[in-house]
Formats: sequence, C-alpha cells, structure tokens
Amino acid sequence: MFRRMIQKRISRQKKRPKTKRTDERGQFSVLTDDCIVEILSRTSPQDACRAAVVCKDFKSAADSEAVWEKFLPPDYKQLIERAVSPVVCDSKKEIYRCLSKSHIFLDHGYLSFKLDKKNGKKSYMLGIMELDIEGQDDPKCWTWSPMSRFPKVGILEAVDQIKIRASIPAVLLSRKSRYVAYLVYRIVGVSLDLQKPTKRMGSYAGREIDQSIVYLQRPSVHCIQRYWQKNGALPRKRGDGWKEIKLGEFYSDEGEDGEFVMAFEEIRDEYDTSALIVEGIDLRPK
Amino acid sequence: MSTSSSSSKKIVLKSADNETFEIDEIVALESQAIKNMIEDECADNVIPLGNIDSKTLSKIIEYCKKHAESPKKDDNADIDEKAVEDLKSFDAEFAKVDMPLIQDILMAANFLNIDNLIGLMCRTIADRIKGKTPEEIRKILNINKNDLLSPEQEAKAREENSWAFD
Repeated sequence: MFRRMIQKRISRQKKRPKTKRTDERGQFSVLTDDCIVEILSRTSPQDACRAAVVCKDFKSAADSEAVWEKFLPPDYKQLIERAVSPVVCDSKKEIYRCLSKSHIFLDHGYLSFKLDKKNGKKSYMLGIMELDIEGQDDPKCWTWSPMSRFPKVGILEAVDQIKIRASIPAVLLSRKSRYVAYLVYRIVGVSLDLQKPTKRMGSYAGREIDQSIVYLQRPSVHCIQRYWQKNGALPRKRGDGWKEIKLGEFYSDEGEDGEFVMAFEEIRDEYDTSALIVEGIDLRPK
Repeated sequence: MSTSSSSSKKIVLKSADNETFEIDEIVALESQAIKNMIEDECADNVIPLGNIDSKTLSKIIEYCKKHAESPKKDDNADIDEKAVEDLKSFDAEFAKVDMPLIQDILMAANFLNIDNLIGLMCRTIADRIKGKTPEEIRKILNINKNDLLSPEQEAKAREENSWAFD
C-alpha cells in the first residue's frame, strides 16, 4: 500500500516512464528512458553518436532533443537568428551537426562562428568589417579575394604604419575555455621589412594580458627562427592557404561581461613594396 | 549535528528481502518521495520498499546519512569549503562499486526521488562509457540481446551518426 502511495506521489511530481525491470539483475533494461537521457547528456557529442548504435533505448535517447540541447551552447538560438542565410533543421541534433560542419556567417557576413564538433565550444572569425584597421575604414579600399571566406579582405600596402585592433564581447565566447586569437593574412611580394620583429598586444577589460614580439614572415637567420618558433612568434601555414600568427591567449570565465581586445602594430619602411593582405582574426578555443 | 540522537523521530524501511533498517527521519527526508509521504501523513513507522533489495537499500541509506549530515547548499551563502570537499570525496568513494549495483542504486534513487544520487549515478555511468565503442558499452552495461537494434537498423544508425567522426 505504501509503495503504491510513493508511486502515486512520484507520478504527480514528475512524469517518469515505468521502470522496466527485468528479473535478471544487472540487465540494462532496468533503466528508464529519462535516466539514459541524463547519462548521455553527461557524455560528449561523439559519445552520444556512438551510443546511438548500442541498443534501442540508447538510440532514442541519443537522438533526443534533451541530450542535444545540453551539447549546444546556451545562446545558440540568438546566434542562429543573426545568420545571413537561415539555418533550417528539424532537430537539435541536426542543428548541432550543421553548426559544427562549417562556419555560419552572421550579421553583415563579416563575422562567422562554428562549433567544435567534439566539445561544442564556439570559435569565431572576424572579417575586415569587424576589425579596426587604421586608415582602412573605407570599404572602397577593400578587395574581393577568391581565397577568402568573407566577401572582402583588406590590402595594406605603401603605408608606413600598420595598426589592427579587434574586440569581442566575452559573452559570445564559451565559458571556462581558453581562447587563442590569430591574425590571418598573406604577404604579396618580397618583403625584407616584414621579416623584422613586430609587436602584438592583448587586453581584457582594459587590463593588458599580453605584449610580445612576433614575426609576420620567418626571419631568414636560422637560429633566430628556432628561438622564436619555440615562443610561438612565427607564422604558420593554414589549411586554407592563408598564414596565421598568434596574437594572444586568454581565459573566458563564467559570467564575464567585459570584452577581449586583440591588437597588432607595426612600423613599416616606406621603400617596402610588398602588400599585407588581412583576412581577419580567428578565435579558437584551445 | 549527529543524527543518531535518541530523541529524533525514527523511520523504518523494509527491503524487498524483508530486512528492516531503522533510520532517523532526517535521513529519510533526503528522499523526496518519502518526504512527501510523511508530509501527507500517510506513512506509518514502517515503509516497505518492495522493489529495492537490502544491499542496494543499505548503500542508499549510507548516502542519505552522509548528505543529511552535511550542510545544505541553499542553507547559507558561506558554506564551509572543507565540508563541500569532504562530501565530494565521499561521493567519489561511494561510486566505486560494480556496474550492476550502480544500476540498482540508480533505479532505486529514481523511485525514491533522490535527485543528487540520481545525478551522481548518471555521472558515474557516463564516465565509464565515455570514449568506448558500442560493443564495449554493451559489455559494460550488460545490455540484453533482445534490446539490440536489428542489423539493418544498426547499419542505418552507424551511417546516420558517422558525421561526428569525420
């Protein structure tokens, strides 16, 4: 009688499916669908995809909205609303798949974001319109590039000074994650000038977090190369044909309302005829 | 803080194999289901739990005792950090049992509606299946053959989920 009473109370509080207990102890069918959902939400997207093959109950839990809601970032709806071309999917799992497959372009097409397939963390890329480049705020100076994901890129040539600055509100980033910002660029023409050390800076909420030396082009002297390679100050080739150089690294904590600022500065020699083509700044969780 | 004071009200729980456990009411109140019953005054001194065996029940009582003794999070803003750490390490030790028992505890905790314990058991199972192949998961959880997908369904499910591993 008391047991019946408990069951009645439970069903009033929260609708739980009947326990599917089999006689055999330790058979997994004892667990309710709710429990399997709870278990899978505590794993990872890849684990949930593997679990879909395990058995019937796991299959339905691994496709459930509840599990994928947990894997998606809390602000995914607001981000999708800002997408240039609408993101149309019939399930949360499908949304996750779509957002982790390729970059989604937001607002005017110069800000893109993507989810890390393995952990759901957000990465961003800020195009020329989202950057503050001294002397380059006129869209007429921007150029279309077949290599770029963005409509236009910035070309800096015959300037005696390069100053690039960008910021991103901390709320857009995944919480409790370490981010690294990279300047994505190419150099056209031969440049001795860009082999010289130059300055990178990073700050958060007005507080400087990083200021050090980087090279946009590898210095020709081998021993210098080795030294700076170790310090992450040399450019790296990306899979998309562009180069990148690390601008800074910061930790995005829970509930921050400041903004992260990444900056880059260089004094150029007026005789240098090479051009620096800037695609944007890439922000990736570490 | 001791729950074994003789003055406090006692509740007796009876397991499926007819073993009785006398516990302080405050310990029993960790279970939302028993709490509701007591509040509705429909509980006698003995509460039969016909689907929980004594081994599982004694583990659950061990858990509830510890958690009833510890200061609750919503009681006060400044909680003793040591107490939080102590409870954490208790939980970690508590979960070091074999999978059949974990599943029994989870099912019983679900029935008795003990939220923290449901969470702890789900987290434990999740940690044990992370990074494992479907075959390994079946073995770890001792999945019944009758519950498996048909070969066609399984092939389809693999295909549908292959994107996560590209």
